[in-house]
Amino acid sequence: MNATLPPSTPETLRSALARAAGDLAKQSPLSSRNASGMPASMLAAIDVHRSRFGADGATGATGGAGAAPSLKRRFAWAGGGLATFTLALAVVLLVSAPPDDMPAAGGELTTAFMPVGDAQRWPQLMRDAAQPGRAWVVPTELPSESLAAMGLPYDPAHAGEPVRAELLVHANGDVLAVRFVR
Amino acid sequence: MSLIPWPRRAPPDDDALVARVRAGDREALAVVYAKESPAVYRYALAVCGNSGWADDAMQEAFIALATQADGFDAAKGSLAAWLAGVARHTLLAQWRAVQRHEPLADNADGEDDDTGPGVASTDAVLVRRQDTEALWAAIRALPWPFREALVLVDLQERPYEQAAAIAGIEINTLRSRLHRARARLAAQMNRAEATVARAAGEAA
Repeated sequence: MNATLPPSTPETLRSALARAAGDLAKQSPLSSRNASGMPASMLAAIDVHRSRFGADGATGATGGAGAAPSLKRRFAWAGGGLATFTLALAVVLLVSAPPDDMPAAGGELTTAFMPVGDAQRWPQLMRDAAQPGRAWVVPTELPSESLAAMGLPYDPAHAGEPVRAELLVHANGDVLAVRFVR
Repeated sequence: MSLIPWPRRAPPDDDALVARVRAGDREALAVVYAKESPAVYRYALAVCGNSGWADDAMQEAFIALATQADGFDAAKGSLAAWLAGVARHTLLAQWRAVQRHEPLADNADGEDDDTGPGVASTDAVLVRRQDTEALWAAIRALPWPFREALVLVDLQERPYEQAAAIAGIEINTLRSRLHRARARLAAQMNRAEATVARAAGEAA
């Protein structure tokens, strides 16, 4: 069986390991799979991550060797004071922002917040987000291709360069909107 | 006689496949999954003994592969080792979360470390049922570091280098753990055989 076993290995152990190896080789994952042969739950998790963070997982790359942590865990440090402040700022910007570039605090230019995800759920989530402690504005970086994905001017010469952005994140982890900063 | 397309294409290497997976290529992900998932699942199942946890850990490994831009680096090791390493990370996190036991105690490599709960009954289990289930009970009664070494090298026949990378240890440490795992398992089996013989003698 196993060439790594030393010659002095007792026959009882040798045969037991062979039996265990044979039994293990028969085991297969239990999860239900779709037509591609992969678990549907796994593909759904990948889709969710990509829809939130972009195709290359730029902002999801800092979670270590394990699975990508949820947004709630990732930004758990954001306290209630920060949440209240940023919520107020986000709502003001949402109400007052013109569709084109606008100057943000600190002299930076930002786009308006643009809805992300299911457009039908967005109004309800935004109403909910108006409650204190129900949303955060989270600074991040996105791949520059995400500009094109949002219908904004995009220079292919700068493909691969991250662009600064801010996410409006609901307390349930949903990303409600995104705006770009330059 | 079957016709073979020409020129024959070499199978894509890990780097190329991973690049395609990260670009969102589902076909590439399916190729990697079909190739690597059985070994990842079996490693996880053998060390934790829980098919649900093993399935979750295996899926988390592939989710990480598809979503973490700086995850796998072919220069640091094989894709098989990386995926198993992520699954291991997930299992350990789950283990610690439920606080069932501490699989990587400080004295994991010590001579006198306790073999953990369940060992006392291992002989009886082996006597009662000389079958595969009893054998697995004996394997799982080994402390995590020894069990992991045994699973990676003796049951999955992974190269020492890859097994050491997955376990996050030096090769010499792996060899030491493997030696002790085999010795403990052999000792348990000898005790069980002796008990069976004694019981048979009494019955006669």
